[in-house]
Amino acid sequence: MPSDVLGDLLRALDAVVMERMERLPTDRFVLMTPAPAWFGHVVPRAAPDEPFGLEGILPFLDTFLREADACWRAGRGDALASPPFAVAAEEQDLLLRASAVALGERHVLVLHRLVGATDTRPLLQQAREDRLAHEQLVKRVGTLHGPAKALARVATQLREAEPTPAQRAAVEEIDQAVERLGQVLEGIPEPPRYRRG
Amino acid sequence: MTQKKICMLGSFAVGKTSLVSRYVRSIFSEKYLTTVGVKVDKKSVQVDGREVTLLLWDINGQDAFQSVQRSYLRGTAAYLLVVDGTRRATLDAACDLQKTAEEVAGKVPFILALNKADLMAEWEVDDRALWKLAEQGWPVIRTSAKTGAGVEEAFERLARAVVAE
Repeated sequence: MPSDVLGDLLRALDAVVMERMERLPTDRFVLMTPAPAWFGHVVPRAAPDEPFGLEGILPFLDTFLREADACWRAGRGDALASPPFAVAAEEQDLLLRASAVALGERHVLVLHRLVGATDTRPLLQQAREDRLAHEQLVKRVGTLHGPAKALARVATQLREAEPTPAQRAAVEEIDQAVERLGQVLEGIPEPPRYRRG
Repeated sequence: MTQKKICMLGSFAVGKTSLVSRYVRSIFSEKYLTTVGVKVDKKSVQVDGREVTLLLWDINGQDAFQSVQRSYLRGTAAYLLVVDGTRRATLDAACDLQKTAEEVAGKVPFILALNKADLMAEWEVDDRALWKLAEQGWPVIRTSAKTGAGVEEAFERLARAVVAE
């Protein structure tokens, strides 16, 4: 595939590819593909054919690049991918992922913006809001146990006090209401527990 | 200039991001925006006459949908364990995360931030639970990202602890 088409393809996919040219004292990179617009906002100093550094611009990368260094020096064609990391931007934080790829002597770094289906923020936002609402619901429902038990006690006391037929009918109604309430309270599931990482 | 990595750990929606926003930018928003992955903020502070840049790693909350990536914890000089005082289960999550942090980062300084101190009427974390933690030597600070209470103190104590290490 012609390199300009590949470059345009990667830019359309919100990815930018760089090659590490210098290692010491700090890593310096050169763009291998045209950079998408978001990269220009994040790393304004990056220009085609001009080495640039990333140190201090994306603090998460400062840590990742130390791990990437081991991958690059191994030079076996390995790739090391980072977990997602967010970078402040004007309207909404950008969610990125970095990959370090060793292509023989060439040390390649790919920064990929997570968008669409790969951006899990909307899904996790909804899931966590639902979870919080569920926790609140369980908490509020839990406050009904006390009144339900109080009603059951009242019904027991009335039954023991030799009620009239009319009072007995009322006690039975209370018993049925308490039983229905108990079934509803037991039917509300607890929120799932977290899993240890 | 000295840089020190400090991780924010805790269950989801306990206020980790809000604490960072309060400390770094002196702002607070009621709107809950979930964190995915990690976001790193910086703040330069003076500790005993030395300038130190704190790299605050705001890490996604631990819950049924996402675990805390152990790789985020590597190289951390200290961490803030954040608990939502109105949700008892977040204290259990914090205790578990403390074990994970110690496995990955070793015995580095940490503080338990009991957040949402502005909602004391709704608190579920009782004094008995706190007393048990104090017995274990856990430093605990009540914070409120909303009012700012305890926030500077929590981060300053961590900054002094990492500089002293």
